[in-house]
Amino acid sequence: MTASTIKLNTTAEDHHIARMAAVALGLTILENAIPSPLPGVKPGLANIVTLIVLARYGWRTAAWVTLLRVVAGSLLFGNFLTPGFFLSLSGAICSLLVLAFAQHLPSRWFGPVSHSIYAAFAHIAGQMLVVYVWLIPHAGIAYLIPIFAAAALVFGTVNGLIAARFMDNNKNQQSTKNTKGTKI
Amino acid sequence: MNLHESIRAAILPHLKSGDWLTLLLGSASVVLLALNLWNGGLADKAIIRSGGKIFREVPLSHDQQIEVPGPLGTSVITIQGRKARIASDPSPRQYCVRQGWLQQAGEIALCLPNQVSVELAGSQKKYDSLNY
Repeated sequence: MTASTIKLNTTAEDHHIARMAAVALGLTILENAIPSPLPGVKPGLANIVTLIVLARYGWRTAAWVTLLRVVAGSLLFGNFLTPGFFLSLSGAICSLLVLAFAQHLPSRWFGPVSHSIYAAFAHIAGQMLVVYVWLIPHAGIAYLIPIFAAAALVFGTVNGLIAARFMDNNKNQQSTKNTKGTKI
Repeated sequence: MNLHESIRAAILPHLKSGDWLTLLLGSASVVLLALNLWNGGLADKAIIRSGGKIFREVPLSHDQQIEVPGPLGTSVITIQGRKARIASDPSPRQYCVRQGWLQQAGEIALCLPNQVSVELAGSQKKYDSLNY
């Protein structure tokens, strides 16, 4: 019996996406160590990676990185196909859909902070929809919406600022050192 | 450069005019959501029940005291300044009395041992029933 090997042909782009998804995963793990006052209120640090990838490499790559992060993250934490996984997934899909539109906002006036805030609101809207339709079909969850919306605004702004700052720093470094594209 | 200045330097260059607009829109929607979802609506009348049956429905516009008979004795309900409370009750633990003033539609005080309750209602009722 001969040993058969399965070889997947991967491109440089695949490696690139995998590397960035790994960075996002690292941030997800970091974030899980931070205690949260209310279940569901999380900073969403991994979205910083999504924002940077969106600005640099476009929506398609950002969608790959985000969805890979959600699936791989759920495997790491052992909640693949649990309600928590579907909450992350619905949030991620909704924010990606909104980002598909938000990225076309004129860049003269709108930066990563706007993208981040719109995506954060879409994220929470997607999650609340899944919670209402599937997990807690009770109008009482409406009382939590203002809290989640406020958290989305605050964390969306902070994440957007971090992404904008990172890209600015990187641009400055690149122009002074004139090095080839830095990896994130 | 002090802390305040360095925070300004870290934030302001990254906010373009559209970003300020987004922040403004976001804050406005959070405030609107809170106002709409956290406001139970104004109450118009108090529904007083005794033994499960409606004893009286009284408007909140008229200040008065109502005595409601129950199996343990008489509960006294006070209506004053568009608010209602159970002023006294023979129930042993006095939960409904300690609940204090009811003001918003949907609020309810129950004196289970004496089978008396006061519920505030607005022009339209939000729920057919509530259970826990």
